[in-house]
Amino acid sequence: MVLEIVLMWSGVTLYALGSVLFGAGAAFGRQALLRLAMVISLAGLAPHSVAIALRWIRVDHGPYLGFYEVVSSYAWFTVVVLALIAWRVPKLSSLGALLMPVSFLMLAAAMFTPKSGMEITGTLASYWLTIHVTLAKLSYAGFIASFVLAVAYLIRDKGWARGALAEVLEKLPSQEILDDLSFRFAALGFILLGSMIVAGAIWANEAWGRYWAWDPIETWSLISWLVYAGYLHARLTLGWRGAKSAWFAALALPVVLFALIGVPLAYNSIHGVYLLGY
Amino acid sequence: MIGLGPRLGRLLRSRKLAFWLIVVLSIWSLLGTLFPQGGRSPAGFQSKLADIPELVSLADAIGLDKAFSAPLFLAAVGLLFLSTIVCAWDRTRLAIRDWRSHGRVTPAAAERVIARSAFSIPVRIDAEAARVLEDVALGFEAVGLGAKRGEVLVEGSVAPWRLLASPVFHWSLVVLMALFAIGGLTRFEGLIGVPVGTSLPDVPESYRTSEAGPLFSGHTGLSIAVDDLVVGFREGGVNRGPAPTVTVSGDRGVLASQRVYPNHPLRHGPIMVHMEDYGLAFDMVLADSDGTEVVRELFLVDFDEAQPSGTVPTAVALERADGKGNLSATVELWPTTAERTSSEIRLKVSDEDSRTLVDARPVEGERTRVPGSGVSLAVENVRLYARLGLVNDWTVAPIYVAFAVMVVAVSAALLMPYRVARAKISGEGQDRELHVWVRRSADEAVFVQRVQEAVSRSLAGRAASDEEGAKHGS
Repeated sequence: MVLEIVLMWSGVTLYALGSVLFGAGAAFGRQALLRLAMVISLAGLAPHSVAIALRWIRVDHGPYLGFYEVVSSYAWFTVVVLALIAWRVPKLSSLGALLMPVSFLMLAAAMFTPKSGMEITGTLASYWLTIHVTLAKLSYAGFIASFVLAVAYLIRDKGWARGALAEVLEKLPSQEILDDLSFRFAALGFILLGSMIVAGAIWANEAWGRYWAWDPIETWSLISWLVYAGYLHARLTLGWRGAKSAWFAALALPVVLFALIGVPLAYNSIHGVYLLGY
Repeated sequence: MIGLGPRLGRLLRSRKLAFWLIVVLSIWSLLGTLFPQGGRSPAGFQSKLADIPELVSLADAIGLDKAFSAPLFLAAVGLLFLSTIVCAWDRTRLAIRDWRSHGRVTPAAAERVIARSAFSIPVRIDAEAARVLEDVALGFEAVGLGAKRGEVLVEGSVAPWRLLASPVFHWSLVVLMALFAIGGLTRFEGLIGVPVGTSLPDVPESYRTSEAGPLFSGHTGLSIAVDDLVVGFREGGVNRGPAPTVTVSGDRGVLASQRVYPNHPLRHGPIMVHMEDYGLAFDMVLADSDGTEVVRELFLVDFDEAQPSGTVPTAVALERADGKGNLSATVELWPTTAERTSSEIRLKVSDEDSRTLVDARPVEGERTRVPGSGVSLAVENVRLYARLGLVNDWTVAPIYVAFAVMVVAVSAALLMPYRVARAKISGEGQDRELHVWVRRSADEAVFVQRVQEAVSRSLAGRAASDEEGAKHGS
């Protein structure tokens, strides 16, 4: 446990340093700083990954239960997604100036919450848990990426950026490309969210004998899926592009975030266990 | 009435209708989560809204207390269902039409390559048209398109089966919505309490609570037996909770038998038996003054931490043999072990004036005489019982299949869309231009950029190798 804590704090420190370097690199337009920032951030991913693995072995389940584990895993996914984006579209690496601080803050916040492991109970003891949670995390990553690209589009489109931010945004691909990439990530998130809902329904049937009961988090997951179905419909059949599409993608994310974090806090739902504990 | 059909068809075909139905269903579902559904107690912040009577009245008036079976919700879903059928039909026709024309370029389509090109690239004056088109074909292949080379036009495309992804996705949505509706009408769900070592038939009287759809086909009459029950069953290092061995039998003998616990239900055809909870059971035996057993009745006892005994007291009504009013008996079981597999018994009998006639702690099987009644009571056969949930729903398996088809189809539709690109050269001499047309798609900007980069690289590669060749030649 001590080793796990030390490794986590190492990850927090390196993420903090990476955030600062990304910010400086973006502000001053220094590619070398951005590259260093990515290296430092990936270096932070190493102790973070080892800490997650050690905890996984110790508590005998993945990072699914409780605020500490869940938020730590989201911070991990955010860094991995940033690395993948920067690898595939190097011009987008300056997005680290937005994503790394988010990752740092998430992991830092998790470090101040209780870290005791929660036991897997009979209902949770199923391979569907891993499938359901993994699909959830990947879908949220897709929606967050779509959101960030949509916001970048809108800031540039409306001319809201000044100074260093404007210079950073100038280096991003064209508006058309940002628009299409935002759609692609939203589409990916939609597929994964739909798959997550399906996995959850099958698991609920195996565990409780019913695949749907309009539980608040089930309903909010469906609402999230419908919102993005509306977004895809608007784009694919109504021809919404550009600013319209970007606004939709930007406003859709809060619905997903509420489903993830707000619902367990606002309702006494059986699903709240994954964030709040037993 | 004339023209109603075509107008209805146009309405259902409307893309805006589908969009607005999705918006309405999203908002209605959101409102539904603000209020407890189906008589449940308010959860979390719902309690705050429940304290505002005007809001509660308004919600009840518009059906938000049963939001997901309210007429407005069902009407919107029904309309979306019809709209999806029409949409799926249209998409299927278009997909078949496009599949039939796959790989064939009409004169009009050839003209469109120049008139509506996505991008154009000047052609070097010394480049042969055939070699330029070959380079374009290589560029198409580099982005995953299968190239078909012609004398004046090159076409790159993906496999035509991708055209079916969107129709299949929409048809799977239609099937799912139909199955959800049919399942709701034909489903049975009930709780049955079966003491260890006994069985109950799947008939209405066996269930403590149950809910059956209006078109439920009827009970099977199969026997549901609990052979044993392990409290705190461990498997794979995990405490699975109380886990009974359940056996389902019919005329032909044992049909299915297994240990049942969460994520490990017993299945037989459309029937699924899952474990809810466990409790205690006992037989209350009433004997007359000769000791002859007159009545033997089974009672199920649930646990209740709020009670001093930890179990819910069981009330039994008795008639006095002397006809002087009725007696009421209460049996309380006091579990003596952590797993509650053995219990002490407390028996109290009172008359109609609430005077205590008996307050005893008999052992299991011990007869206790009730003064003035001519009877004796005994608590026998204290054992565990399993509270099982039984679901009879034939639509579950087809729903799983439809889920799988939906996920695969939507993935293909969004991630592997049908793509076609065509290239043609216009002009003569130094005015020649290569035009590339790309079929419209939701993310065409990204794809057009990839095609342009690939074609440009291919052309540049040829130009570079030609220059090398020219240098060595000279």
